Amino acid sequence: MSEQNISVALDRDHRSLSLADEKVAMEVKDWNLYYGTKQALKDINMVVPEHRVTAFIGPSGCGKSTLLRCFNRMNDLIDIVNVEGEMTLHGDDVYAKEMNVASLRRRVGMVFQKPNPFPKTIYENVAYGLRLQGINDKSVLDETVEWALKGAGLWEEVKDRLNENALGMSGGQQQRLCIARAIAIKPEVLLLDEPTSALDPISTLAIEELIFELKKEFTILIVTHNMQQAARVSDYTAFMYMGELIEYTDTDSLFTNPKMKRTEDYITGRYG
Amino acid sequence: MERTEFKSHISEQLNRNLEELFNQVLEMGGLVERQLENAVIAVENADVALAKEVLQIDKVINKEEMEIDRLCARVLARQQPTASDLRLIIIAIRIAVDLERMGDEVVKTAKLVIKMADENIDCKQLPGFNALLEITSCANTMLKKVLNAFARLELSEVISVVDDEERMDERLAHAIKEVTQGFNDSDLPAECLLEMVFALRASERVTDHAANIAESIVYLVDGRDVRNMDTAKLSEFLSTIE
Amino acid sequence: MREWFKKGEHWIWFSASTVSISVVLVFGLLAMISYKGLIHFWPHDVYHVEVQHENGDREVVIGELHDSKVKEIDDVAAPHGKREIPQYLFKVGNRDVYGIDFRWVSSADIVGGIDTLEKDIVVVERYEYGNVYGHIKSVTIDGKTVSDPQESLALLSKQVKKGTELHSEIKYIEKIEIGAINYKIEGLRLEEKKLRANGDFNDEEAARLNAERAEYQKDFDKHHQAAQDLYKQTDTLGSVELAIAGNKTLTVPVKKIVHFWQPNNFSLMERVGFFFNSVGNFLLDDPREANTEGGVFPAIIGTVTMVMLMAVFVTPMGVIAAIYMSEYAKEGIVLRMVRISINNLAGVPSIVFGIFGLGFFVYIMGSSIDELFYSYALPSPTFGSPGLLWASLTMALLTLPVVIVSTQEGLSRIPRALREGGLALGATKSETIMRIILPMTMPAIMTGLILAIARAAGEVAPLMLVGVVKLAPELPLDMVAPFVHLDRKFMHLGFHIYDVGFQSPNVEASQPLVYATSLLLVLIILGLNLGAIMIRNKLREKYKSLDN
Repeated sequence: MSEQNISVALDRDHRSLSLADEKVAMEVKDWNLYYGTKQALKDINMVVPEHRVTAFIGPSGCGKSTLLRCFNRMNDLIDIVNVEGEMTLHGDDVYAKEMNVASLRRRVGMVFQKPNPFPKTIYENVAYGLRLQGINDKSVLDETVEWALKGAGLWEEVKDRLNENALGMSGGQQQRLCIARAIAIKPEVLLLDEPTSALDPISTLAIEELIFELKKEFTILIVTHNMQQAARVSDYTAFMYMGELIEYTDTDSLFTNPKMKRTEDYITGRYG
Repeated sequence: MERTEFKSHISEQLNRNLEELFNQVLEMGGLVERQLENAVIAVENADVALAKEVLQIDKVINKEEMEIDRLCARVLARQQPTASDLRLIIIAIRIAVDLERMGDEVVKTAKLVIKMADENIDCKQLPGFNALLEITSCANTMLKKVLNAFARLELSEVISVVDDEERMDERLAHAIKEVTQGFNDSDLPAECLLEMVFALRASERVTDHAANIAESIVYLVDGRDVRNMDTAKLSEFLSTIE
Repeated sequence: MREWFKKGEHWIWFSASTVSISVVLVFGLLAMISYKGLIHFWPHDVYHVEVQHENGDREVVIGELHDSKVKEIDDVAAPHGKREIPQYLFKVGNRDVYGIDFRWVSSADIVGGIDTLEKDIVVVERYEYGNVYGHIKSVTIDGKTVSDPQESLALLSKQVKKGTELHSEIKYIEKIEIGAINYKIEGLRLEEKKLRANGDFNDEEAARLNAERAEYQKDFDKHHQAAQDLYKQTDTLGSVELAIAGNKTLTVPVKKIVHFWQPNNFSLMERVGFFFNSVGNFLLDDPREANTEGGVFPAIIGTVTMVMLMAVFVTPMGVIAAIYMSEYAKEGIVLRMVRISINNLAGVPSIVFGIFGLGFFVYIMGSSIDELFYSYALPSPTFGSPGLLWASLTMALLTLPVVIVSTQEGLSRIPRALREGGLALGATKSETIMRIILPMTMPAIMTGLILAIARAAGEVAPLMLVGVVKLAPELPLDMVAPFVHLDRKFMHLGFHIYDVGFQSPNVEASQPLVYATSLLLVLIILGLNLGAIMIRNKLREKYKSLDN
């Protein structure tokens, strides 16, 4: 072994991820949210890195789902919710007056806790978002449906029964179908709200693996009750508690060496 | 058990991490092996340059150990390994510790060569020189065997490692006697003889660590803990594995 | 026993018995209606009894046995001081001779029991005056008289068959052909009125209209002549002379005979054949004799058309209202008030809806429509009088709460996740409702519609005010454009029951008809419901796995 080799080996350093090096997909500044008079989110500041998986963990009622639903303005559906602060998607103000909510939701897709396929065929489920945009060209639809199903790792399982009712699929397949449906309209950001909480462990692993693959094309935010899942799939993890963002850093650091006492207590199972 | 089992998880990330861990351990083992080879040649030929390289390699080995620890912590924290995966992580940490210790011990032999060169004494004159050569090359063979066993997850050569270790214990006892004799008989400086004792002792420690690694591998492959077994029982157990 | 109560077993038994009582009631009701209704179509035997009056006169009564009752009279000699005397009700027919159709006969007056069946008796059903019971004495055609029993019977059936054919030909000409021409002539008349009202009437138009009218008149005369010729032919069918009870003879012209049969000579197979034949006639014939005889075909068509139209009106109204209330309206005092109003609307007596329909739909809306679009036809109203459209709308209003409530229930059962799923894909709220929510609510909407149909088809009171009549000259559905005539009055089974059962001059005679019509009404409601239920089940199947 030469001198040089040795010095190279000594200099070799496994640097972990760092938020400072990432491209920004979404940014949240001084974000507050109120349910009526109750404050549910307090002064959240964070950047969502592009093409990374960012996980939100925290005890029930900590506001992680609420925050997630702010990213595509799902909270608009609830009358008593008021928000203040600034939120941008690739520089565009998400809550601007001129922002069309429907088109925002095309840019920020969402997958929910319980698989919620529409009572239509598998094909129509995936094509639904495209049809909403007025795309009815058969060849475009076919191509996109195939692409989305492949992207969701479902193509091989369903390619021969695209015209069967989606409700006949298993839970895990249904959830992957919902992911396929969400990615078919090619959003920039994909929000996953506890996507595996209704699934068995093996389906869960399949979805997690899918998330790992999807981050190559999409920026992914995931809320999960299962912090091991956050540890498995995410690049960055945010720990929230009582509506506050306690700690937000790369997943390795958060799970091996959290900086905040409350984070440590939560991930080691001392409360929550 | 097959190596491929560690590549068959649904989670590609876990596959990749375990693969990386495997390679890291083998790489570290390779470095220690190289150290031992160098040490044998350095002792034989009084090659100071090679001896110094041994010291350099040790630094890399220390770094490798940290890397393995980091990797193991990461897999433990993030992927919650179980069963054979978990055993792999545990023994990876243990093997890394053993290998690091081995590296440190080899350094002692290298230091002997450097010392002798400084003193302008030919190593071959020292009592116990043959024993040192023998133990070091045997340690090298043992390490090769355990690394092979680890790489292939196969226990057929592990028995001989345990046997070798016992043999080297006896060999050491003889060599120490020889050197003690040297204190009385020869006119060599006492510190050189003492250095020789250290080197002999270190080489024997290397064989001990090799045996420890062998036990770790048994634990990985078979799931049974064979540490602290008496020899008869151990041989019996190992023969049942075959 | 205490253990038994402790376990709560008595509650299980209690609820089980309540259920069985309900089941028994439902099936009992159906069985009674079916029995009483269907017996009407079964050929009755004709009995021959001799009655001795108190003054010693003897009289022969021939007729069908329809009912019996027990009358108790005081008698000291009897065990309980009372003696039971059976009373029998005979349908004796021959209304034109006796003046009554039915007769009660006390068993005390009967000489020789009532088990004598009259051999070879003929029952003749006539277009007027009901049945004749008697023996054929002779058949006369063109002055030639045949009196041999076998021969006259054969001759009579031949003539009656010929008569039936002639009648149906006449009916075709009068109803269909002349009807169509009348419709066109009426159109011309209205056109002229319209032109005059607009001041566009000139000689040219007058000449054109007159030419067309003359054309139609020629057609009309031709058809009228054909009908007249056929009528004349019926006169040549001859007549039959019958010997009836009381040593009287009755001559019946063949053209007045619907059909005749000899019930006491029937074999079982012939009876079954007769039964199905009567059922067929009941379903497909027009009513006769102030609805007490003949069929109920126009009432069936009227009922079904009205219910279908009602469904067409009520479904969109109810569904849209329900969607607004549960998807768009903000929860608050106003919405609560609206909910309460809708629930109370379901409890408003149906006659009130009838009054509202008459007052608002017919008098206000109908008159306005007439003034705006049919002013040329005034003063004779088009939509300004009760008719099919107003009846359907009134019924739609009546059943609206049911549809709204069940649609709302269906909407509230759609999981929130599904709405969010639609919205998250960039759909607007209305797109989500139209494409996802509404298709999934279809089973609930169908449930509402089933309830609405059941209610509307069975309702009578409000319909009397807004369009149902005792006897409608034309069907609301026919082959002349626009096929469904919204302005026409129509017949309805429910009202038919009321009319036949309580308004007819001959209540006894029409009682079986009331039951038969009731059974038919129940069957029609059942059929409409079954259709809706089948559609609903198919839809449910589609969305089944969504429930878990």
